[in-house]
Amino acid sequence: MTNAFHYSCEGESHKATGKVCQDHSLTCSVDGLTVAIVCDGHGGERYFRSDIGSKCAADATLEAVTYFAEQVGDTLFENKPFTAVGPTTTLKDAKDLSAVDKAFRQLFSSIIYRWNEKIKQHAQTVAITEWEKANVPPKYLEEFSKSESFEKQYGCTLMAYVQTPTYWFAFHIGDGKCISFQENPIWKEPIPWDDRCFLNKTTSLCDTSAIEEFRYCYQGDGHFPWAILLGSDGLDDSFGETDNLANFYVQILKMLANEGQPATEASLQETLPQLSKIGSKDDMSVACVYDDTALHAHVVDLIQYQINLVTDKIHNADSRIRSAKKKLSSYSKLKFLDEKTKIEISYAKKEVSSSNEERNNLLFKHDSLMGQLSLMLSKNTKE
Amino acid sequence: MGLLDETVSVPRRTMTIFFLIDTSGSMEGNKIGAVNDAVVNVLPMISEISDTNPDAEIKVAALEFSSGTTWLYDEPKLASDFVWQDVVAGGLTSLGQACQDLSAKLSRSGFMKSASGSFAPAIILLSDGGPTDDYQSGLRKLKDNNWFKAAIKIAIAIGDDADKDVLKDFTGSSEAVITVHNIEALKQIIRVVAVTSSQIGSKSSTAGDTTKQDQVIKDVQDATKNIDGAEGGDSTSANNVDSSQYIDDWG
Amino acid sequence: MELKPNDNVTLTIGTSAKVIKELGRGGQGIVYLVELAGQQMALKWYHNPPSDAFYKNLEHNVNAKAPSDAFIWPEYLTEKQKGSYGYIMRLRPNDYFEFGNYLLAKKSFKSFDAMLAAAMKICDGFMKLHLHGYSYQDLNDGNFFIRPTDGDVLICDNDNVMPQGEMSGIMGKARYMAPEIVAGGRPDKYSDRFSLSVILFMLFFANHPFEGAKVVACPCMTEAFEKKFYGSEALFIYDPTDKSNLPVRGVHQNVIRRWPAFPSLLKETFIEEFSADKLKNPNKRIIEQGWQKIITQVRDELVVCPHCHEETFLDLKAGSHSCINCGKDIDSTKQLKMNTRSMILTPGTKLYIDNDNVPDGEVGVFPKDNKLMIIRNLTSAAWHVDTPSGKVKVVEPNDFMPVLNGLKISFGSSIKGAPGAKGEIIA
Repeated sequence: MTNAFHYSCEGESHKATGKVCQDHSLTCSVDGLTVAIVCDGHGGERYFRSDIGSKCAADATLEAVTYFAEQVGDTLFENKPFTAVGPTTTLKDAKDLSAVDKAFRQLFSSIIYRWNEKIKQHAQTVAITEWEKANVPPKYLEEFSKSESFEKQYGCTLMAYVQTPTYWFAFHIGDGKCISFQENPIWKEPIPWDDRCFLNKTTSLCDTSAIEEFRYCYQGDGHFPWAILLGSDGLDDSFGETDNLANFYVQILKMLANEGQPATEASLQETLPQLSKIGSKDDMSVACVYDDTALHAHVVDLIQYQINLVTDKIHNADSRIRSAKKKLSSYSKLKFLDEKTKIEISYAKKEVSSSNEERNNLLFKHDSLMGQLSLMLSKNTKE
Repeated sequence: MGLLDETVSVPRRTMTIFFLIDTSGSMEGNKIGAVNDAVVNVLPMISEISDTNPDAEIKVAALEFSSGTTWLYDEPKLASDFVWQDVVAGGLTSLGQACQDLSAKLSRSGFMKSASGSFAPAIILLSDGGPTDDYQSGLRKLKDNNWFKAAIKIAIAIGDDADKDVLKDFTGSSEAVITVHNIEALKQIIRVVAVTSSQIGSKSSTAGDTTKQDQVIKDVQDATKNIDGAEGGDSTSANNVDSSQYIDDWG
Repeated sequence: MELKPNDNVTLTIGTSAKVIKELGRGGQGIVYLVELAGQQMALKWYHNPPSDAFYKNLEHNVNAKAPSDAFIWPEYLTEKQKGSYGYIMRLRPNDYFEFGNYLLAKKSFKSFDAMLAAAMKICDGFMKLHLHGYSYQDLNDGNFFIRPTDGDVLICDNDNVMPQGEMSGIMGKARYMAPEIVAGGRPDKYSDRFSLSVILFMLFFANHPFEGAKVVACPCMTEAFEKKFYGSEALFIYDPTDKSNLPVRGVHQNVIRRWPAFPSLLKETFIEEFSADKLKNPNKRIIEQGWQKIITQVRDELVVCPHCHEETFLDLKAGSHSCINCGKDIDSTKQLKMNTRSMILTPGTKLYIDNDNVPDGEVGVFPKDNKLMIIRNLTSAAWHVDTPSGKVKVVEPNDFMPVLNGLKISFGSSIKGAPGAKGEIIA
């Protein structure tokens, strides 16, 4: 059965300045249509109503994709293999646009239109508040008063996943990460990346050519991911490498399989704020869609993946220790040590000790994982 | 089992400061001595900023270029771990090669390993002359690099023989080129630029209007006013022509 | 049946052509590179052979000549063979790109100059087509190939060109068809004129004139909606009274950015042509020569800004003299007046007296005094100038004359499309 859940929490840095959470996530599963959406409102002072903007974006998207799925989904995606399309700039020729591409362009245009209308309505009915007068620089308040379209003040990113019994598709504008789990490779980012999202820069619904910045992927040949997780950049910035983020998601999936959804949701509500504190300090959002049958069947594969990862890291630590030791033994043969060599020796010694420490930590992790694996395997044989 | 158990790693974000040092023959003597002295003294300052900064840890990498190029270490080291080895002057000025090497390291497979958890790097270029190799193709390659585009870039021109146009081309603006005319100023400017870039570069920014580059330039320019023998930025001029009996002829 | 390399096809004139390789394919057929009598040409081969009537029409077109050299016209017809048939035409050079690419901004014009040249050439093509008694049947963005550097246009897919009033049975794309044709009527030169206005609008603004808020309100486009938005309920995006179809920020960025830059004259013409009145009354629609006049006047307002040296439009009708790029004010008092035309003179501006897209004059500055403007003669014959004091000066090809008040120019035979033209300098 397909289930979905989501959670957003305020960033550590926002708590410090009195800003509200500017992320918005939602999930919904009705009549075979499952939708997960994560929107991240921009944090700068100029974007002072981006919390409203991200809610409007999520609502507009839900409306649009529901209609879209009802009207054209089944015929459009029938039998289509997995296809991923980057931002429009990657298309070679106007001729390259297929019926699916045109349909998506229409869908995205409609989402942008609906978002424009919702934020305009809000801007025209809610005047500048007392809090805004006190906390937003006057030049941005002025920009807001003079604006006709208000997109900057409500600016946000948008990531969505839609699934029905016969197909699934996902699309994205801006930063944040979408990771899917399936047979091979065990995890991947199905939606193409946009290089314009780099460090703290991102593409956005408030960009002048937003329609050109959507990326998307779809599949209608009967294959579905076991699980898919959408996370705002507060989450992936806390982990550095995407490998680390995927590993965190594996933790979530293991917990879902072993302890069920309510326990996992409760744990996330506790964990995400902690993560924001020690990591990115930013607002955190995660939305997850998963098939619990598939998850139960593949939990063992997920643990095995983690074990393989840790084993590789142990090997790396081992080879670093070996080469540092080799250096040290070659230096010990020298009669005279100049300044440079003395420094090299001290670095090599530091390398040995820090790699050993890392190795010990990794061994600890390895043991823990092996324990989880054998527990799972014995559970499976019992069933 | 908690979600954040021992199997999960939450690394601290990194900001890397790059020193690109011209060690050509003309730097011999007082100039290279001043550079060595200044860097050795600024490393502890950077280390302190790194330790007291909750947002990021600061790492240092140094590349010297003369007839060839050499990285002082094969990976960036934490400022507290970085042991400076004095560089020696001699040879030509292969800035183009330096640009190529820098571009190669400004990548996820090079020095920018924890990509999504990093801050934009700071790049400080010190030179007293003009490049002797094909620096244009090297610089062009560098300018295509996303890390370079996002980086804080400051150039310190040592003396009047420094090719300021090249330095302006490298940093992208004339305000990011500081010229020093004496040894004391050189030392002070190295310190100011390194400290300011580290402070501003390692803070989480909000997507505001002033870029980190502009903030650093502003702070450095302010400091330059109080340093004797240092000047920032430059100016330009234009001209015109005069008249004839051509008009009469057509009247 | 599809062809393979080295296949031979026999032509109605008796000879045969050899297939070299496939160049591309579309909805109607496949285009192959072929060799005919030592020359490389293109062969369009239909997937499903259209009717006999179509074949007859193709035969007729092959025997008649192309209306102008802008048309890549069917030159040879194949016999019916291998289950289908086709026709041979000249190859399209590879520095011309399909119109659709300009709409997606995959390609852009090098300058407004090039854009206006393309507009002029397309109008000319339509005009010549109608002059020869034909009309388009299946107009879409695949018909036009444009060179971005100078705006030169090649018009293709002329196998669907039919005598006016007849139907080929091939339906064009709803977006380009006049509402009455979407509703099932017969294509003719009046419906072609509607299509011409649509194509010109898309050329200038890279956006369809009816695609605004109404069209994107719905998350999916169906055939029923298409018929509505491009036919029965078509509403111009900048309709002065009904604002319900305005372009949408973030989606229709091309037209939002470009609309303010163009002169009122052009904008008002489009508002007029897409008004309910003209949509319902085909015979009121502007004719090709009308468009050419408008384009000429718009080109007269295209100048080079003396401050930032970029191209900009001035809008004399609306009283606007500022540069669209740098915002600074431009002196538009120095002009070359011809009949009702006023060509504004600034250094660097090109002057087009006739419609052949080749500049006839160029404004510059006197070598020793850059406050004195001059006009250089770019034609191949001399101009004669009467000065206020009664002198007559001659301006040889490549030579120049000053921009001084009261000088009267006789262009003589130097301008092919406007023999005997005369103008006066106002300064």
